[in-house]
Amino acid sequence: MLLQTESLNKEYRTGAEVVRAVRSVNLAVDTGDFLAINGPSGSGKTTLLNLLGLIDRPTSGEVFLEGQATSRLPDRVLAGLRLRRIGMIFQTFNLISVLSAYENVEYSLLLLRMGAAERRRRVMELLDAVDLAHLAHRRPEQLSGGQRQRVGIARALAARPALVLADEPTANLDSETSQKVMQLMAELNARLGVAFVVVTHDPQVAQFARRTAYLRDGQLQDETGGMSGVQTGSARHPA
Amino acid sequence: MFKLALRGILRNRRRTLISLAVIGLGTAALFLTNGYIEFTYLGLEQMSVNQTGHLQVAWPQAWEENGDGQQHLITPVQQKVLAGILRALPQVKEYGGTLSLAGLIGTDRQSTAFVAEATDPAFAHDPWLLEDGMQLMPGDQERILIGRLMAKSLGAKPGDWLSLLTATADGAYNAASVQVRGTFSTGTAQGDARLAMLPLSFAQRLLNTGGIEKLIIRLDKTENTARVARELARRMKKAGLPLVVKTWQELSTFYRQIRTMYGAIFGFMSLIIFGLVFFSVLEVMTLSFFERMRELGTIMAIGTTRGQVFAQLLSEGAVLGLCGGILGLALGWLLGVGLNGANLTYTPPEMNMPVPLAVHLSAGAAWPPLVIALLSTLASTIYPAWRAARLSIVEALHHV
Repeated sequence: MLLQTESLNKEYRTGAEVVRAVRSVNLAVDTGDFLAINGPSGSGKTTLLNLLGLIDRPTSGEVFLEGQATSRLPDRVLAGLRLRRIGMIFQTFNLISVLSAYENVEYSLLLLRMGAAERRRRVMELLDAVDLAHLAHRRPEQLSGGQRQRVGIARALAARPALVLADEPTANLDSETSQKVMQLMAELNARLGVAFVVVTHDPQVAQFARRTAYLRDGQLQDETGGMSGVQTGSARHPA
Repeated sequence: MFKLALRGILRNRRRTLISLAVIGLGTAALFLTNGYIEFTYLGLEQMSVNQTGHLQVAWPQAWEENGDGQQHLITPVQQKVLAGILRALPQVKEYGGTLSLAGLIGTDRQSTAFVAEATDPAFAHDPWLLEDGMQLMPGDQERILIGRLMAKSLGAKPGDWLSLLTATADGAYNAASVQVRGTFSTGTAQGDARLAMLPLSFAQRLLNTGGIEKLIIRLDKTENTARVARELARRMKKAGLPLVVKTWQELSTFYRQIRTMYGAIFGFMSLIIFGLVFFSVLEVMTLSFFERMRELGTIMAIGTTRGQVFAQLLSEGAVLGLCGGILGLALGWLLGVGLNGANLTYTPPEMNMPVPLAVHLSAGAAWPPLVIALLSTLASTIYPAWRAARLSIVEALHHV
């Protein structure tokens, strides 16, 4: 199993009030999977994704990445896991504004201390895969929203992770661009065998996933609304 | 990392320009100050070496404030042993003996007290500026050079004869007539009123001795001073000579006092500039990192460690400090060239002749200001960088 959670809980304290953002979530993602986590605003989707992406620690429960328990690992080790095994795609793209599209994709490869020739080959291959090789030298502000998100996807895939986590990747895009971006993610999932977990409140986006889970008030529910641990479902890639 | 740091500081150009201006102006001010101090040191070093030689050898009592140098003279036998040692040291360029004597000098109408330094004219090094007449020549006997104010008070000019009264090494009175060969200026009124110079052999005759008070040694290079002093002391000890060696730095109290004073001034100025740069850059860096919280959260989310974030932000401070420092040195160099070209002079207190107001533009004068610029910028970056590296990734990603 690539990723698995066990009774995952996350609580926040706001003044005297305790907010239970994620409640007893049990979830499993296998290699090459494409899981959409759907739910309304405030349902805890982003908090859950942060826990899955090892950028936040659970209040209780455990996240296993490739069988390794992660909740007690030191920050430095978690950073290494994020760099090598997990790719992140953000709602607001989060590209580094002073770097070109090429350099944004190259960033994690520099952290991996990859050789210059191999790095260049990898970056151009990825930019080509997202159809942006011709705009490699452009800075983020010189790109459209869709183009920026495609750079974000290429960046997420640069270190050849086993898992890519996307937080509302189409929320800032028009519907046509959203469809193209999701189509691209589905293609890359099929072609590269990288697992994708996409958090979204848009039911249209969920169409591209093989499986869909629903989150309400921090709890994972099945498609029929019943309480459930791991959602399973058939692939529903559009033609 | 360097590329990212460079681009990082170019994000907000107006703010970066202000920081560079503060760092640059501070560095330029320190460079010019240090250049002026270096120039002064060089002048004082030259002056001190001219006056004292690089090294002096004598009995320890010869330098005591109330000591009577004539009671502890280097005998002719000891002079021979010393000469043998000095000939074996290749860095020794020349050497010669000195005697000092004091007494009264005057005409039939008026007299004044004097302090005279006697050296071999062949070895004489013209420490003072000759104003009138000629220098003492080898073979001169009853000849004297006197300070310009002494000449004025006695109404004496080159060619005139004066009477000189002094005491021999044994304590008896001795008198002689001497002809004024020339007058000189020491740069100070006190020196010009009291100092005189005599040929060594004439002074020995007056004092009824074959000894010398001190042996003055000049070297090929000033930087050899300490090494030769050590070697000479070792060889004198081996030869059984009860004499000591002193370097020009030890002998020139004025040089040491000036160094201490200028060192304190430069230290104080450095502290002010350090503080100025520190607080200016601290504010700039804090603002800059605060504005980039989401970006910092992003790079940590994609695998950058906190240590790498800290190092990256610190490198921005280093690049800013380095660029500001180099700009400051360039500005200081231009101003220094202009200042040196203007040939300005001023008259320091207690001096009666102007000295050049110039700066020594050298690597030695440049590196302390550059290091201070770099250190102050780095110091001001440490705290904001540390705080940024400690950010919660989740909070940073949600920062707007």
